[in-house]
Amino acid sequence: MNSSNILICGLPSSGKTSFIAALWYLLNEEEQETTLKLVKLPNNRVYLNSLSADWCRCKEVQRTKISEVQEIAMHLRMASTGEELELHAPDMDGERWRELWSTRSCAENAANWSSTASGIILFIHAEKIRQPIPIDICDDVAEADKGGSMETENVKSDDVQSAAEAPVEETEWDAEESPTQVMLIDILQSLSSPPLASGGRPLSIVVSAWDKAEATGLTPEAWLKAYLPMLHQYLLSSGSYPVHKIYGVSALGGDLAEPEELKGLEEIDAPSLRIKVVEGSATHPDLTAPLRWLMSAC
Amino acid sequence: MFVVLSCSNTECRIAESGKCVEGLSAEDCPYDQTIEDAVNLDAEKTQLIEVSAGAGEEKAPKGYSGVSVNSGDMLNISEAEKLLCADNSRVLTIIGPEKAGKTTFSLSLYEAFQNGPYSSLSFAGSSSLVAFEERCHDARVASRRDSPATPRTSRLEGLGFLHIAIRNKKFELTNMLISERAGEYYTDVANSVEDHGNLHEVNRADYVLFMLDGKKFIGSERHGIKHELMMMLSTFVENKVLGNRHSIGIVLTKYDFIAASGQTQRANKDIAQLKKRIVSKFGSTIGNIDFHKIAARSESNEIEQWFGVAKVLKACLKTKPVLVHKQRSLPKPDRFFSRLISNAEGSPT
Repeated sequence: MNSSNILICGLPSSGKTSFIAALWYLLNEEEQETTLKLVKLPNNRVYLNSLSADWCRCKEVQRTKISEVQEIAMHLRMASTGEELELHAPDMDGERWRELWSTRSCAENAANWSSTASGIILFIHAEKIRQPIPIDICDDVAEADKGGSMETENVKSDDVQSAAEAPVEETEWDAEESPTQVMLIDILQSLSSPPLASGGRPLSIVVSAWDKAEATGLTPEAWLKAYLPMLHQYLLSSGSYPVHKIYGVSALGGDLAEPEELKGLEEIDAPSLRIKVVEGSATHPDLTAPLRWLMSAC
Repeated sequence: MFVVLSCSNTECRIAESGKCVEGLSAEDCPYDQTIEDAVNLDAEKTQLIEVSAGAGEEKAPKGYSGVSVNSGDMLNISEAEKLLCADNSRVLTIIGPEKAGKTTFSLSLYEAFQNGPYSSLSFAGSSSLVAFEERCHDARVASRRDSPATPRTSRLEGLGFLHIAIRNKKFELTNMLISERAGEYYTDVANSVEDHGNLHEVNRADYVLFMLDGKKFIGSERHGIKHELMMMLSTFVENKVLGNRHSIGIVLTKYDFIAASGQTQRANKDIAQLKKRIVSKFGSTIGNIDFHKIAARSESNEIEQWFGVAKVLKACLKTKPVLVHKQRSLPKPDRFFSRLISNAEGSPT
């Protein structure tokens, strides 16, 4: 039986744990057709059960604590071929990945996982993109914002507003405030070279909270190109991740912090109907798709 | 370990002069250009080696006892050499007095790629992302500054390189290494205060940019900065730091200021005259001389952002590499002796 070690990574609150919660619910309840099926329950399933319990109640899934690494093990079967495979993946706090950028090092267990993983799944939250905003366009952006004509929702209006209101004190560079795409490129660079790897690996990119990006009308790849253009160039040009695929995923179905949206989600009869996966221009609820693709590519 | 470029022919002083002892170009030299340990270099190089060795030591993780990754900082000479051996590369050396716009130019390349492919070139990675981000901070809203700025390169930093990998539309990859050194160092070389022999980044450069401060070009200092440039070029040529294997670009920076000043006509006339003087005096000793105008961080609506930067980048990418680095290998037999042996035995060795 094939065994796949998959590295799950992404900055804090990028949707990793919500994905795992929804995935576990989907595999157990079988409300929707999936390309991966659960063969048997893992011995240690306390963590997974608590995640899916919160998820199906439309509760915020508890973020992984930085001190913990929850190792996820699932015995799965490819629905199309019957082939059985073991999936092993650590659920690590996104802080570990942000610290890889800011401290230039990572914990040994993360390093071990990185070096033995045969594939990587990288999570990016569609609404948590920090863009580099040059000072000299700031005035233009602030003016446009006053008129309500800002085209990009992802420019942090706090930054623009603050700068337009005559800043009090200049700030020193803080690595953790760097543009999102730069941090992600750096993480991927580190994950494709020693000591964390000996070469590139298949990469599945999940743009989470896709319900927030839907209004753009873009496919997940086009969205990445528009909102994280340097990362998009890196994926196509570096040669480090020639095998990669980009998905848009809404694992929660909406914003649990918005009362109206929450009420709507709670009303849905089958919780798995909240799930949406976008591949190119196709949409389906099979949350196992990014994993199945990755495990096939490994 | 700290290494410098040298030749397996022990009589060759390419590491110091940038020139093969047999008067050949680096490409025609039959000996391997190898990376050698610094231990055999003479005392004149000691200071540079110690500084570079210090910079080359692995940085300890910041308060995290884990597994270290690449520092993301500027590359020292040793790290730069490793990259130069790995793939197709270009060394772009930028020279000019302080505040002429050297670092701003380097950062403008990086910032351009943040928005998407730049002039049919794509970003393919960088070993200096941390260094780029630190330096870009003062030009971003996050700094809470009123106006953009670029931090000064301190003399204490010595020589370093910013790295950016670029892919063209034919999918060819080039590792660009862009030098960073305090501007006053070059002024001191021109004034003979500093030893020109330490200008390894010029010896090794595939393209050397000389930055002329556009703001000063339209002010009372315009004759002074032109004179300083001529003195710098004379010093480099006379001391064989620059020669006929070099391609250089004379770059008038801050062209947005010139455009906004209403003195474009006079500036263009001055540049044309300067061009004539430079070509007349150095055209036969320097391989190729280009002239550029840029506005790496335009503050004018009339001049686009990164004006002229793509042209400079393409000029650099177009240059033939000065040196093709090879991995360390056994030295080939000396050509002269191998000819002697083959003549005596009647067959080639």
